[in-house]
Amino acid sequence: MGITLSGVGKKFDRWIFRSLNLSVADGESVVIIGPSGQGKSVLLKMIAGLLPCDEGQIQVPAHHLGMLFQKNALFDSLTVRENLTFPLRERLGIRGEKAEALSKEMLSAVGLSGSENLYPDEISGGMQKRLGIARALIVDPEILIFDEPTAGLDPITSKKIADLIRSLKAKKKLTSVTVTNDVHRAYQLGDRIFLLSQGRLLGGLSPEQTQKTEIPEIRQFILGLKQGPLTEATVESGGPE
Amino acid sequence: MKTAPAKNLQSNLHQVGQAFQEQVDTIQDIALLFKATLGWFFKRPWRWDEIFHSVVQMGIGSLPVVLISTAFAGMVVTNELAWHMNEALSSISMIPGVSGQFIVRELGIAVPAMILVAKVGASTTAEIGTMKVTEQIDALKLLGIDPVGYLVFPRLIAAIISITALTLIAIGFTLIFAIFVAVAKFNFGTFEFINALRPFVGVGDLACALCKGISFGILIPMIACGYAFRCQGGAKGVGSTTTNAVVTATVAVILVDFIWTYVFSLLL
Repeated sequence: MGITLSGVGKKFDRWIFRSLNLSVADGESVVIIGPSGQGKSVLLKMIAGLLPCDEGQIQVPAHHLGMLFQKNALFDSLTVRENLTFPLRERLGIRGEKAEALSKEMLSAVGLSGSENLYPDEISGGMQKRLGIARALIVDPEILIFDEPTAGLDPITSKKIADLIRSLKAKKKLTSVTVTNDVHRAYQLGDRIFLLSQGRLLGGLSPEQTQKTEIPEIRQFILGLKQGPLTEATVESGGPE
Repeated sequence: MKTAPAKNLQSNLHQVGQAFQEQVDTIQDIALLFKATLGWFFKRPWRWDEIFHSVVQMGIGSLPVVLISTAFAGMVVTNELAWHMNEALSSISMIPGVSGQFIVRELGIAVPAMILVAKVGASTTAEIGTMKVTEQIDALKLLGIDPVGYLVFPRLIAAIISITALTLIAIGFTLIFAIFVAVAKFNFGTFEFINALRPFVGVGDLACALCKGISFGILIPMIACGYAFRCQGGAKGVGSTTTNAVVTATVAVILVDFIWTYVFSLLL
């Protein structure tokens, strides 16, 4: 189940981006990197159907779409277990023992066994990310969307989370779109990597090609150079993420 | 070229205009939210567990503070009226009628309403506003759950039930403590007070109280949820949104209180 963006644009006080085109093939994993404030998270929310397009259209044929939010968006009044049984009940109509068994299996898959009765604010940032991933996966999605899946995590936990995403994604052969500022995780997670900057999607190259590319914006971003087409004004233009 | 005072004036006017526009937009959003919430009366499923949970939180959770406040309000009103009557008329025989009518028509309703605006309104805005800024509402939408049906409608039903019930309980409790002071301090007999009260308080007064209670039960959660859905930013955003919701709900409750009082003054 692929994703197609045709001439997509979003406007708040000003146009954040316009005429974006992107095709994500069935089972493909696309990563979008780029400076803060360029609208990466906005683009993800548009793909998820949480924000409308102001121009163009997005085709997402999947009925079941899972998303890991930037701030995890865990239901803080529910326990870890309930954060998984709730989507099962509401989205798939699965209740009772079957829901309990499925949630137990998923918690085990993401390494959260033993935390079932804790609340989200009682577990660490890394565990919250794992729970967010588990919640996104429990509804058996065909497409997964990850908004900064490793933001705020230490490098070791960040790598563990990326490994977990890779293994779970490979197991279920899912299509995914990930937004991140972490280029190492982008290499790890993406089949193709794009840079969103100044309203344009650049690149679309494999991790190996991305590392060697001469596209100045991408080169500047991945090497963290001060000099280049991504000026300080561009990087800190402060659009909504 | 504009002078500095002219620029300041322009900037101040711009800020006032923005604030006014923000209020207008919020009121429009609250009206649209109310319309969407009314639609849920004809949809299923009604989330009874959420409604029950909200009734417990709003109704039973607010009961102690409402009872304490109205008890003191009842004692204050008898004391005050007695003093004024004694000064002006050299008689306190009219206390039951005046205080009873004042309590049933106004005091027994206004005091709990203000407390419920502060308690129910603030907690609802803070809770849903936090869900908004932490993307929990987006997560609900992604699960195919309508936030209006899940968050707003149960709270509206619960608030109508709880606030109407609390209003009636508060009237009764205020009266009891008004009688207590009249008996303990001004030597009225309990039945003497109740008998003297009867000609002044009728079914119309109770209907007025009921109308006010139901109206507040609609106003408080709708204003609280309307503001919460517009909440932006982090903790500061939730804080300022909660403050604005409480202020708006307080003004709205006083306004609606006046409207019902005026309508019933024409009818009774």
